[in-house]
This record gives sequence, structure tokens and C-alpha cells, in this order.
Amino acid sequence: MRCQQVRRAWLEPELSAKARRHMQACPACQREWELNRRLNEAFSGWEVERPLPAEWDRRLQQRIATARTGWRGWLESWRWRPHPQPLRLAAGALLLLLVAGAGLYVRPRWFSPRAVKPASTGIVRDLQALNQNQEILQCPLFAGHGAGDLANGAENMN
Amino acid sequence: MVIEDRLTGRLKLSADVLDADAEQMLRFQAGDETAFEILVQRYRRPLSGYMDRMLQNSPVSDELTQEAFLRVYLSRRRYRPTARFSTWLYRIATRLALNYLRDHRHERRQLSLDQPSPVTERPPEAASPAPGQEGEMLADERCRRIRRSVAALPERQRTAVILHKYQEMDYRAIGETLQISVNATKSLLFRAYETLRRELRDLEEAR
Ligand SMILES: [Zn+2]
Repeated sequence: MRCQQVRRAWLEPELSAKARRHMQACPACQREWELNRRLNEAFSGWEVERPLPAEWDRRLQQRIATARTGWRGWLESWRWRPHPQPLRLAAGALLLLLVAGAGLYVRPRWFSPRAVKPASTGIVRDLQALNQNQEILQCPLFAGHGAGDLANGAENMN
Repeated sequence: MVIEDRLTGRLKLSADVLDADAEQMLRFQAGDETAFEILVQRYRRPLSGYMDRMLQNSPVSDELTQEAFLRVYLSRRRYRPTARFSTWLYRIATRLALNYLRDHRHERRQLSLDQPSPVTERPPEAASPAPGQEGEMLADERCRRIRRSVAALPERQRTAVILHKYQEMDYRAIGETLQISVNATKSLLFRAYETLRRELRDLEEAR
């Protein structure tokens, strides 16, 4: 058994007899084992206990209230409104065409290589994150339910 | 576990995946806002501790902890009780933290490693050490070094280490949070601990 394998085996809850035998005969692994112990000590010394600021809760409430009425709330409720799928797709396509058209129209006025920015500005990232969130935990339980269930859910949104 | 019939009827929930948090989340989905409050109260301390260690910057940590809860609020309809609520929450928070770290990588590089991190660091001992304090000083120094070494780890390794050491997640939960396999999780942790042991060894040898 190689040293690397043995050290990787330290991640397991139980050390195998083979790993144990290696460690008895290997000073390098014994040293690493001791370092591991000190590492764990150092980890337990890293405390972050601090009270959250007094206004933290109030501020969260505020942000929620703002988001509910703002574009993020609108975006979320739109995503979940029980429009029939084709209608939503059509609306999305129309919006895309409008944006693309407007982009082509205004592009010559401002476009220059220097104006190109990485696509990770706040709003874009927010939208990306929201999209990614949707991938989270796809549920087969919902597969059999139609727009009616979503409609019931969407009512509670407002 | 008591679940309203209409919920069990509608979602055909299996009891094994439905922990107490998931139950609150389903109540919240059904319009009960106090369920959300309960989840915030339950998770705000552990989550802010997680963000403190991930970001090592209190104001940013507070802000992003709030943002994580805000996203839970806004995307509650997308929660599915097929996985634990805590995994979902930590996945959202992790994504926020990693995005932030990525966007501010440049600024962080410019900070000298010798500077104390702006927060989450205990104040240094004011008086010169009495003989008995030597060991304590060494422990403090180790701890400071580890904090900086963790901050210098590649982002996914850092995340895995913090989830493993402080959020008491097992390999499966860490993997689900990072969306990688159990084996990949172990590899991340193995590499991270190798690096951290090396840093610690350098520290001891430099003394
Ligand atoms: Zn060895």
C-alpha cells in the first residue's frame, strides 16, 4: 500500500488492517498522522461565533418586501403563473426578438471592442443563478401533475 | 410527522425524505409565512457561520446570508422535498459565496497574506507571553495559519473542507451541495488536507 493510498484512507471511518500495518512501518505516515491531529486542533480553534447585527432580521424583512414588489418578485411569479406552455414560449420568443432587434438597432452607436464586458455583471449573474436554481432537485413527484396544480400554487404567491 | 392531508395527497410524499425542515418548506409553499420565519431562525446562525468562514468578511457574509434566505423565499416553488432542505439552502449559499469569491479574486490577491483577515479573527494577545502561554500562542498561530491556508485553497476544496469540518456534513451531503459524486468529494478533501498538512509542517519547521 502506498503512502498516498493510506492517507486517503484516513477519510474513511475505519482504518483497514492493511493501512494500519503500513502506518506502523512508515515514519513518514506517522509524521503526517501527527500533523493531522494538530490540524484538527487548529480547526477547532477557528471560532466565528459572533452575534448577527441587531438590524439583520429587520433588513431581511425589508429586502423580502422590496423583492416581492420589485422585478425579482415579478420574475418569479411570472415563471410560476399558470400560462399554458405554448403561450409562455411565444411570449418569451417575442421578448427575445424585441431585445435582439433593439440590440441590432442601437449596436452601431456604441459598439466598440472596448465596450465588451464579461457577462458576469450583477443582474446577469442573478438571472443565471435563478436559472440554475431551477435545476436543483428536479422532482419526479411533480411529473404527473398538470397546470392545475401549479395554478393552485401560484395563487398563494400573491 | 403530521402533514396536512391535502399536501400528502397532492405530492405523494415519502416519509423518508421529508424531514422537519422540508415540512416547514411545504407549509411555506402552501402560503404559511411563519414556516419561513421558523426556517430563518433555525438556519441563520449556522449559515452565517458558514459564510463567515467561506468569505472571512463579516459585512459581506451578513449580506450574502440574507441573500440566500431571500432566494429561498423567492424560489420556494422550486423546492422539491426529494432532498433535504439544508442541502438546498447550502447549495444556494455556496453558489452565492463562490460567485462573490470569483468576482473579487483579484482584490483578494492584492491583500498580503501577512495582514490579519478583516474579521472572524480573535484579537491578538496584548501582553508578552508568560512562560505558560507558549503553548497557547503556538495554538493561536497554527489556527491563524490554517485560516489563511483554507482561504488560499481552490474554491471547491475550501467549500468541501468547511462543510466537512464545521457544518458536520457527511461526504454525500457535501457532494450534493457541490453537485459532485461522493468519490470526487473525497478527492477534493484529500487534496485539501494534504495541502493544509504541508502548510502546518512548514510552519513548524520555520520555528
Ligand atoms: Zn507511508
